[in-house]
Amino acid sequence: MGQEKTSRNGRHAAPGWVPGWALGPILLVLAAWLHWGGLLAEIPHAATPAFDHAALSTAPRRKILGDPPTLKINDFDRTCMDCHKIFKTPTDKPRPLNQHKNIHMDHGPNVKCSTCHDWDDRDKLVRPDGVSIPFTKVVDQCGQCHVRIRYDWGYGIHGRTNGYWDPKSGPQERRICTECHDPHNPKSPAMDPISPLPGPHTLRLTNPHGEHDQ
Amino acid sequence: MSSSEPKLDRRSFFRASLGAVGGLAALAAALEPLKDFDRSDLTLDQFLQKHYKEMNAEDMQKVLDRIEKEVEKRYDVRPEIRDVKPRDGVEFVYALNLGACIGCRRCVHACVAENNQSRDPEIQYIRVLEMPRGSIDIEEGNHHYERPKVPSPDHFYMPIQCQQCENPPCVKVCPVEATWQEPDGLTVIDYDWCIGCRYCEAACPYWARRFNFTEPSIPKDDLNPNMSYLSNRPRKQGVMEKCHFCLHRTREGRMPACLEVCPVGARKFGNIRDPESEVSKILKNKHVFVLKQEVGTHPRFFYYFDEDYGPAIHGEGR
Repeated sequence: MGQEKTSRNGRHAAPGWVPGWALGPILLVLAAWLHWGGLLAEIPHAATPAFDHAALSTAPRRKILGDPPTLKINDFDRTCMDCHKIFKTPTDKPRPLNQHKNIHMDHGPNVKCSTCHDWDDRDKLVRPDGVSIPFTKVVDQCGQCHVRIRYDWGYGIHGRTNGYWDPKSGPQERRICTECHDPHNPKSPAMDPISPLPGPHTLRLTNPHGEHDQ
Repeated sequence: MSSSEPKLDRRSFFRASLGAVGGLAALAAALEPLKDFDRSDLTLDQFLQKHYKEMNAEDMQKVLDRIEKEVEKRYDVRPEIRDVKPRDGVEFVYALNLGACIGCRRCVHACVAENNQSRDPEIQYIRVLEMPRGSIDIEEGNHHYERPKVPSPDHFYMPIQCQQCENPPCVKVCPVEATWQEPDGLTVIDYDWCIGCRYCEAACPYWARRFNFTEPSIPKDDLNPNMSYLSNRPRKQGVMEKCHFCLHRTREGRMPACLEVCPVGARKFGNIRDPESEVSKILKNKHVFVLKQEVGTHPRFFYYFDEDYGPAIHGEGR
């Protein structure tokens, strides 16, 4: 009996020991701290920075030419031959262009216009074997040299396919070469460098500069 | 005998009552969130909702009606929500051409727009790593690159999202079976069943899972009303989410949103069980690899370099 009492007193006396009756108030203070001022008050986070949503367009980057290719001049659709039948291009050799100055020609050894363009019918392209093909079949033209990419494109490996992965469920939209690449200047850079959209500002991937952290 | 009985003196009375008051107050504080029970979206129907796999068509219709009402109340938008089931004979596979990717992050933001992720705080399923050319060291990868223009000629870019593993560690650790693998290979989450323990987030070697630490917020105008139960319906605070290959689109035969926005066509998606599909051709003809092969997860997300395209895209070499 006496021993028990001593040990109890001893425990009471031990430093750092919390008496049972104080647990309630301590928990209360803890709950109040969590609720009003502490950890649960506000979790720091950052919102998505604003950006131009036009960047999320799924449209192709370049326009393709029809058959025959047309150009709006004074509200009239003009084909290539409308002009070229009047203005004869004198010779077919590399020379500085007087017209079509927007064309920057850098396509490897292809320095002559007539490598791809039909010299007699400017509304058409011409294959190395002399066969005229319309601009809509530009894939066959490019595929004459870029054989492997042409094969890949045929399998759907090269180039984007929009629409349906399952052709039975709906239509597939395939891009042809010139919807992404500039045929006159495909090499440097095939895709113009573009601005990246904002990086992650999520809770666990916060900005390393701490700009967006609260 | 009488001396050993506890004596209620003044001191012990105050001690006991202070303890009791403190205890009761702490209990009240702990129960305080229940005050908001009426205002919260949790209804008895939702509380008693069955597991996804145990629901029949009728149960599911009730649940979809409830979610539709909730979304309409919260966002003022009438969603078209449905439960899209996997197709027979279909197993989805993703392939990504690292030689073509330019790191423009279009896929990241198209995904957010499609899948109704929280904008504040921001949640993104896809991370794009920028790594020095000549090595694949993910530890060296940088998520936070900010350049006026991409691609940088000295770097290549590697987007990482849920790999839809054949042997998913995230599914094994879930204590409540709120996440599982579907017959078409997609690992899905039932947001109504998830308890938010984040075990799956810790188990995933690809860091693909995201947690809603706070109540997600989406501007009303940005909400995508084309929803499905297992994919992009709005989530709540305290649940996990992750990429599901846009299953509300892909199970209806369409392409995922990240693929359709890619300006370089680096992303390829399809049915691996169809030998004529684009992804089957890629797996046959290209040297593909998977991320962290050594951990044995058997991802359904394949990366490859197409040596012929890389230099052309970046305007160097050849």
